[in-house]
Amino acid sequence: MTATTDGQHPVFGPVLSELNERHRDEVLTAFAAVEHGRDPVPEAQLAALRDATLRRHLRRLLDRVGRTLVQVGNGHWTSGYADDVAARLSAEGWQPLPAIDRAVLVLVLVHSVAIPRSQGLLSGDSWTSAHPTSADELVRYAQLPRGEIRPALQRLRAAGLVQSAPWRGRGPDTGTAYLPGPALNRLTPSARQRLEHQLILAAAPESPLAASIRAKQAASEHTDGDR
Amino acid sequence: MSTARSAAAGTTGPFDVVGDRVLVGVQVVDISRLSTHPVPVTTQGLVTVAGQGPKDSNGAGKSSFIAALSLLHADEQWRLASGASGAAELLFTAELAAQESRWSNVDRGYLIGVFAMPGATSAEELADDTVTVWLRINRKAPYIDLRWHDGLYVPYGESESDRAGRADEMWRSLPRSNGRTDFHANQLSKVLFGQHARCVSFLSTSVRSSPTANLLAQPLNDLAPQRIFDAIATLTGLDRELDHEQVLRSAEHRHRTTVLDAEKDLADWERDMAVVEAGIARRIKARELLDEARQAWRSRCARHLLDGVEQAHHLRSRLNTLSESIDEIRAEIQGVDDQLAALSDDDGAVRRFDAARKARQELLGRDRELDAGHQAATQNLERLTTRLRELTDAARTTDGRDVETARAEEAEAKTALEEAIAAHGVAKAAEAQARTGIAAAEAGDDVATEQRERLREAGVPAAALVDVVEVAPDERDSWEPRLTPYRHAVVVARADAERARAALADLPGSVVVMAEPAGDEPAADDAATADGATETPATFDLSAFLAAVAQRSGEQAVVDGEAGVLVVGGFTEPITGRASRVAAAESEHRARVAAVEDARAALDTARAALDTAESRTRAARAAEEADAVRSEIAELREANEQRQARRDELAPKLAEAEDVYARELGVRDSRDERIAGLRQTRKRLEHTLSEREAEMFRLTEERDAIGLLDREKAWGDTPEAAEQHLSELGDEQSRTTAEWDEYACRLTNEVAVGCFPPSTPNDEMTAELRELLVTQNWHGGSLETRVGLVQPLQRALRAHLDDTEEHDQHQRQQITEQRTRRSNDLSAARLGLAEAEQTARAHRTSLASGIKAMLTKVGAEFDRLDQEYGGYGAGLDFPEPEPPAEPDKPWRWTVTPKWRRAEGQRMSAYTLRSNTAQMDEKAVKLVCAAALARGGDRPLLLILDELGRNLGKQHRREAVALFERIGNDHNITVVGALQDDMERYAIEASGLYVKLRRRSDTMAYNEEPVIVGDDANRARVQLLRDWLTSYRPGDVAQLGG
Repeated sequence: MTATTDGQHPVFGPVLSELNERHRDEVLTAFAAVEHGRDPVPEAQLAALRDATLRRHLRRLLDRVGRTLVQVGNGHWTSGYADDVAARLSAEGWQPLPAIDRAVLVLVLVHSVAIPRSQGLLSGDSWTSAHPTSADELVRYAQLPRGEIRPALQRLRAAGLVQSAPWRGRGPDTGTAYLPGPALNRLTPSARQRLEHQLILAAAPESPLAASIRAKQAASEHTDGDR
Repeated sequence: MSTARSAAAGTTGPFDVVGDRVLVGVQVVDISRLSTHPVPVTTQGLVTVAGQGPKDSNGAGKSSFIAALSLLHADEQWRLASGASGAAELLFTAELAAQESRWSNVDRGYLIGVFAMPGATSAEELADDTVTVWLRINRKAPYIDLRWHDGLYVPYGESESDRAGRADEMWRSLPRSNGRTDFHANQLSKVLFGQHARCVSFLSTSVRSSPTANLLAQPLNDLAPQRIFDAIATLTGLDRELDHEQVLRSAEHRHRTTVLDAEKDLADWERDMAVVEAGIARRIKARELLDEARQAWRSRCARHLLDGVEQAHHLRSRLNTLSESIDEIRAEIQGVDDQLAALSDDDGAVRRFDAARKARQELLGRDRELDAGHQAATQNLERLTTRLRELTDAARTTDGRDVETARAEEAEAKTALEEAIAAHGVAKAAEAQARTGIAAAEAGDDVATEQRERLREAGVPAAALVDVVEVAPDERDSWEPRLTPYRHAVVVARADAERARAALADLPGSVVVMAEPAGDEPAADDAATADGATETPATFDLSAFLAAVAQRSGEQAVVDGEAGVLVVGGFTEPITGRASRVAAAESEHRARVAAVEDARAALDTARAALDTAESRTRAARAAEEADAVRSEIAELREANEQRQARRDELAPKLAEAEDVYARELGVRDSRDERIAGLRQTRKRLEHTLSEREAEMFRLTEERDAIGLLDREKAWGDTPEAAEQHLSELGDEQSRTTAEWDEYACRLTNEVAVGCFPPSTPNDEMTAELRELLVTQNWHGGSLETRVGLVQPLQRALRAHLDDTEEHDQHQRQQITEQRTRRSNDLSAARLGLAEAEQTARAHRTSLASGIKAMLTKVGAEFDRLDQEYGGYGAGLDFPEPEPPAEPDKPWRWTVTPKWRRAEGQRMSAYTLRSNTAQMDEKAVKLVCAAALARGGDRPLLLILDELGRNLGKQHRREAVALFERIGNDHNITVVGALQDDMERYAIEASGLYVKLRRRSDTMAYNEEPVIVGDDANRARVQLLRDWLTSYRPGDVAQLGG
């Protein structure tokens, strides 16, 4: 961070200058934790996450850089792109993942989240899961070029979008298996919902669920148009 | 000292370990270049820290020392919450000490503070209730580890290295403070001082880690009122109250979030359920409508059946009528066919017509032939008559001669002409010769031409004799005969005679007369003339010749008497002289021309005679031809007359044949007309027949299409029953089938729409209904299409509605239950929120009054201190802020210090520009006021680097005195680092004087500091120093025992 001559940071200065010494430190600590931490941060650890007032400041601080605070489960927090920023970035064609990586990620999500959720094994709208997707299975059944799946998995893992599943509790014969990564915790609720809707529309376009999603989308577009 | 620790152990572990104790000694290891000697510290009053570096006071580590003190007192300026990374800068760094060649950097150092009760006055009392705090400062995170020990526990030894060497070992033997690990910077304030502010510091730039303000670190007027409140709140402990308020607001916020979530959830759910409920309501309505629709359809089937019966009856009668009419038409066609056959078979009439036509054509041919012959003869006659006229004209010029005579005369004329032509030619030749003679005479070339030519070529001058001699006319008779023998002679000079003879050698007969050379004697004329013959005035002198000739001549014609030669004279023209000779030639030419004229006249006459003879011959021949033509004309006229007679003979026969033919033609045409008429009639009849048949076919089809059986099946009973059913309907019995169709379709459609609104995705329908509604296009289809679908659709809809009935009921029940439950949840959440709001509001109200009371107290203390120490009175403005609109917004208080600038003036706010010294003074007073207002139970440490940095001499003395007095009067210790020039003011005022020493830059660490107490403190300083240095591990065992 570079400081201007009057000692204020050009981006964060306006927010930070309102805080006293202690609160400032706490907010900055929480900012670093949610931005750079791999996993969501428990609010018990950081006062700025626990306290609503400081959380508001933290949110404003994140907002200055196009990010927002995302609550994960009960009492864990991380940060992600704000919905409007994400929409603008994707509208401008910002897409860091190649198509093959996206395809593999979708397969992992289908195996680890969508299928267990449809079986009633998972609840909630989170995109993390404890149901591993075996890499062998991916290679065997996916209609993707085989040689590219494992490199794609490695890249996704580096990006935190998948993680390798722990060995505990699995049979000796199974190979490497993957779980959705901690980066998926950074999705905002509306992003999570959008992802879920997209998956439902893709997987079961004839289901009543898909019908109601389409109806909702049409209604929201309609109201958008009215506005 | 376990009481403080155990007091809070039940909740969050160690808390406020130091408590009311004050710092009595400090020892550092590897902190900057400070030595490891223990430094006793007094409480209350002013502690001055001076330095003696190699050159001046700088470089002795004053700033590091007081920075260590502020860290030991958990000053927030170290950014403890973020781990106090700035603390690592306190560690001994070889480069900074200019000792990198001998020493290396340390990666950890120790900061050891001994805290004891302020009232302890002996070593035993001190030892009784002491806690030794160890801070280990690390080069890398965690930057600070905290451990402590009840009782005195400091590194000991005689030398620096003894003490420094023991530090690590002693640290390791301390128990870990936080179970498996140690507490770090973020817990420092809480664990040691229970979150009480024990220190306010202004640290100089080298170790100051943050520009964020506290009251002493920045000029007062650079601080916002809000900041000033923060500072005061920290000093007075209000910050914890405020934190509590913030926690309450967090709770309120959580409740509010819960309520909002619940509301949103309920709204979403209601929106979803509205769709479901609307579906259920539609289906209930659809069930009612379906019954009506079925009734309508039944009535329609009855009406349809009856309509069919009636229609079938009507069709049958029409078919019968048609069939009869078809039979009639067929009979008519048969009659026409018979007539046609009779007409077409009449052979006799055809033969008659053919014969008449043939006879007529033959006669016509013969007549035409005769006519053609007549025409040709007439044309020939005309041509011959013309020819005859021409010949007669030509024969008129015969002049009575026949052909023979004419030819004889012509031959004679030809002969005469030829003779005339020959005579003419002779005359012309003579004339040409005469003309040549003239030319020769004129040129002088008529005498001795050849000879003169030769002589000229040989270059001998010569002339003809006749040209040289001229004879007078009266002498002609005598001289002409004399000269005649020399008519052809040439004259040359006597000197040239030999050359002339040679030139003329091959011309025999040439006569040359030699003359005397001429020219010298013109008198020669006289001689010649005397004799009658004179020479021409030429170059030749012939006088000798002439004299000789004259001498020889005799009488009369004798020219040579001696020789006896006689020459006859009498020439008509003179023979001598050129003119006379030319005249003679012209005269002869004239005679020749006249002869030519005569010959031409004779020739013309001969030609005219020939022409006449020839024309007479031609006329005689034409007369002969004309006779031949005349006889031919007569023949032709005769032949024509014969032909005309034959045609006249033929004419009556031809007229008869024409009549016969015309009659037969009329007969034939009328028959053809009748046949065409009959054919037309037949065609018309056939057309009518096919129309009738098509109509019949159509009616038959129509009859078959009614499908009476199907209609009866649809109705399900007899037509009589249908009639019965309709008669029971009342007003509706007058409806037509189409009206019934429309009615039934409309009702059925309403049912279908009720079950599946138009926007419903097809996937939601059952397969049967999808087939009927979508595949068969119920919604978009025409009425006919729909009528066909009504019955199966009603059946399918009935099945669908029956299927869903139970499910609908169940769902309605569920919705009602859920709605109650969710509403209850929401109201419970609202209740929680209301309670939380109330709690927060109540707390805020009491807190506000508490804050106001505290600030009033601080204001009073500020005023008192100001007046007490040289001011004119001061105070604080602190408007109560509005409670935050949102629970997660901060509740922001502000404090505006103000003071009088002169006696009796109104107070003006601190932001009004003022001198720096005054600002610093007021800041110190404000800090002290805040500390005093808190209640005075906790000691406070004020740390000021560069004490009195901005003050003038007088002010410095006053400031130092002010600190000393404030410190002494209240429970405040002021630690100040001094510049050299401040020393003399400070020594007299301070209770404790610490001088850090380092003599040379070559020393890595300081020497032992000089520590002097003033009169009041000297004994205590000594006591503390002795007590601190007396520590040995055995004591611990003793104390612990």
